[in-house]
Amino acid sequence: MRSGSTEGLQRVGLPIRWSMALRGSPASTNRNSVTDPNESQPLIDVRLLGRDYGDVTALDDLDLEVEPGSVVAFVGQNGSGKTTALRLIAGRLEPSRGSATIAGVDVQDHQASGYLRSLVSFVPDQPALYPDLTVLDHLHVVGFAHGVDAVDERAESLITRLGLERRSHSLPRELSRGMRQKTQLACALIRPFSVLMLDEPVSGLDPGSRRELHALLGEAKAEGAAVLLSTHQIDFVEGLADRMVVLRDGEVVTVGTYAEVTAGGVAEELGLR
Amino acid sequence: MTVAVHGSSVREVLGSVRRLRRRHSPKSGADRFTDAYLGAFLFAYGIAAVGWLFDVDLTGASFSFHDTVIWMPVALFVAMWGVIRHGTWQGPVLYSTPEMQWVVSSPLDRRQLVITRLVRAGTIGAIAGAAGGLLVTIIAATMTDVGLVGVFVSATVSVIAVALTSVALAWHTERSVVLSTAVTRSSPLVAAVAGILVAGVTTGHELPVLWSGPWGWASASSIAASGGEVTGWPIMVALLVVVTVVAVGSAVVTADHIPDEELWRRAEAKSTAAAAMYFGDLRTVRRVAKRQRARSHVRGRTRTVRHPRRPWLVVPDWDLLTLRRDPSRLVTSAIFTAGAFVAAVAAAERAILGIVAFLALYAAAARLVEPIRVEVEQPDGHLMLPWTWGTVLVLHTIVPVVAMTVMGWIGIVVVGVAGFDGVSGLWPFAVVAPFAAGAFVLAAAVSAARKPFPIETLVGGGDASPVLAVLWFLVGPALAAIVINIAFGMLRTGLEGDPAGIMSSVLFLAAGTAAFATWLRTRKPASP
Repeated sequence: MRSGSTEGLQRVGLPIRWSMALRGSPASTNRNSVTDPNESQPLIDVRLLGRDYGDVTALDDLDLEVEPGSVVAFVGQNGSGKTTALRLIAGRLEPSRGSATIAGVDVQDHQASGYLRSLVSFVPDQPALYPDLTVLDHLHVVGFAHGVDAVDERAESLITRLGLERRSHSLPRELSRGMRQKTQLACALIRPFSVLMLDEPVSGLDPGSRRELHALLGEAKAEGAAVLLSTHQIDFVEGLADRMVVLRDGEVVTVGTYAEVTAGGVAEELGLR
Repeated sequence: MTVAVHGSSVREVLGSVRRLRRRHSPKSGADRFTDAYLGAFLFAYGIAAVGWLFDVDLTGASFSFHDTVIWMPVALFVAMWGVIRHGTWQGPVLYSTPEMQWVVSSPLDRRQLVITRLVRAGTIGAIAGAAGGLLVTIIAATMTDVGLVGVFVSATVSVIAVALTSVALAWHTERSVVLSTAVTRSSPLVAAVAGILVAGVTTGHELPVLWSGPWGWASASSIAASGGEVTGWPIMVALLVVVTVVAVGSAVVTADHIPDEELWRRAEAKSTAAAAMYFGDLRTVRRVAKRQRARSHVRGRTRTVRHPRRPWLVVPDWDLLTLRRDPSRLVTSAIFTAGAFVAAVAAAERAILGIVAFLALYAAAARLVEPIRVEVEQPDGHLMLPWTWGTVLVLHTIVPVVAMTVMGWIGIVVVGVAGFDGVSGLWPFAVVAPFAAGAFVLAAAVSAARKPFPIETLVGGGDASPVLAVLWFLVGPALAAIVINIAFGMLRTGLEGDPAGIMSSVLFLAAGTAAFATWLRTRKPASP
């Protein structure tokens, strides 16, 4: 992962920075932005992004800038728009309005989809594994497809760290929900990336695996990757997320650090604690 | 809390459940009448269809009753194997999940619970056997003037015996993990035996075929009635009776030899398969069956994909890996291809066989593009890969194209060696084969890349819905037919001595394949 994420960033042509700026919501306006003075262009730039499903607005006017080496957590109850936000930013959904760019490339630009894929590692909320491949097969296929060197060593390391050793030759149907989730996380982490997006990454994980995932994401952040994740378990992002974007019914309620969000009573108000 | 209880018999409880369920059944008397009427109507048409099949004389050869009934051992062998194999994932003793929860879990006599279902399966088998006997009699009536009563009695009794034996063996397969594993693993052996039986029939070695097992013993009396010389057929009938009695007896004796866990697994498989069948989703049914069998049949999975020279090569290697672990797709595809070659060789005399050959080749290609259907079911899976969804789909067609090409070349060599045209005369076909394989596979891939057939079209689509359903399934074959038909038209001029015909055929197939691939590459996965 170390060489991978760095390699990805180098391909993008961006320096590795741990800075981020969020804008567009009253709670965040310049209040706690940590902005690198040398910063010229965010890695992820989201402008007034929104998506409707008929009369229902799943996400409205999301405005966001994310720098390399930072973690942004979307938190909110079920149906608050977290998954929609991640999928829109990943280019997996078409927006009803607004735009999102990654490394200056519009995520809806299908001509550049190959390039975007080399930057973004995405973990959907439901484990999406191939029924006829084992855990180890998945890691090998993903690693080889992305041209990773030393796939065997990296796979072994991830399998050990995520506690999958005894199930490495199992098919997805023979795994529990948590094991499938770990497999998917391992697949996301074995490849190079500049942006890591994880939709509800801790659902189904035991406390030990949550700690290990926390550490892995911390390493990704330290190596310069931009990490976006969604969760309704806000304790998980303590000490990890630089910013939390709190969503309710598709709208940004507030943006702030973990301490700000938890101290303001928003978490309790939304039933997140 | 103490509750007064009294013992109930299995028959009482099951009868009571049946009555209660019937009371709440949404089917009215009129519905049942319609079902019965439709059943009778379809049966009558089925019989007429059988008669028509023999009248149209597809191969141009003339058949006697004896020529037809001599295939009875092969048919019975295949049917018997089908019933026994069914025991590897469902079997004759099957309860639904509610029945497992409320009936089987209650303190009823387990043995009686199993025997009740065995009797039901045996009855269904006997009815099927009688229908088989009736079919033989109908065939006899259309082709010969032998005594039909004698044919009916001998065929019916012996086919019923085979059916009962099959049900009993299916029960043993169901209750024993060891037997189930053996049955699952012996498919290649069974295919070989079926091949030997077919060879025995076609080369006129009827007697060894008849003595080879219950399928042959059960056919002996009918073949004797058709005028065949069957030495010792009464002994064969006696053997059949003994085997049937032993099989059924052993099934009854072992009636309580099945754990609850196994009945539960089968009940859940039944429930999933029934739901899938309702939506016409045969792939899910196949997958459920495979999963149920896999409990005792986990193949070694230590081998994984190799480090490819180019990253994209990992997808063909992945497809090869899954084919190696589960070669059934390849086997089915090979069977379809072989059938297509047989039909194609005979098609010179009957145009309809040309259509059969085409459809068989399309079916062979459709069977091989299973990885594309998996991608459709799992639209988020490709997010792990560096390519667009459409590109992944195209990469998944490489192994099927290569496999079909190799099967095609083998078929061409076999046809050549068998002396139809000589191998040298068939070289244009060998040249065209890879491109034709590409057209078949890519057309099948275009069809497979769509979402599964929307069953709601049939339910609420109005009068046009059956037409829409047919059109839905015709898209793939129609695309292949357009390209293949034109290309083979060009090839025909090549065979008549114009080399440009072969070249234009190849170019046209390549262009068609490229067009399909381009379309496939632009596909996007369904939105979540």
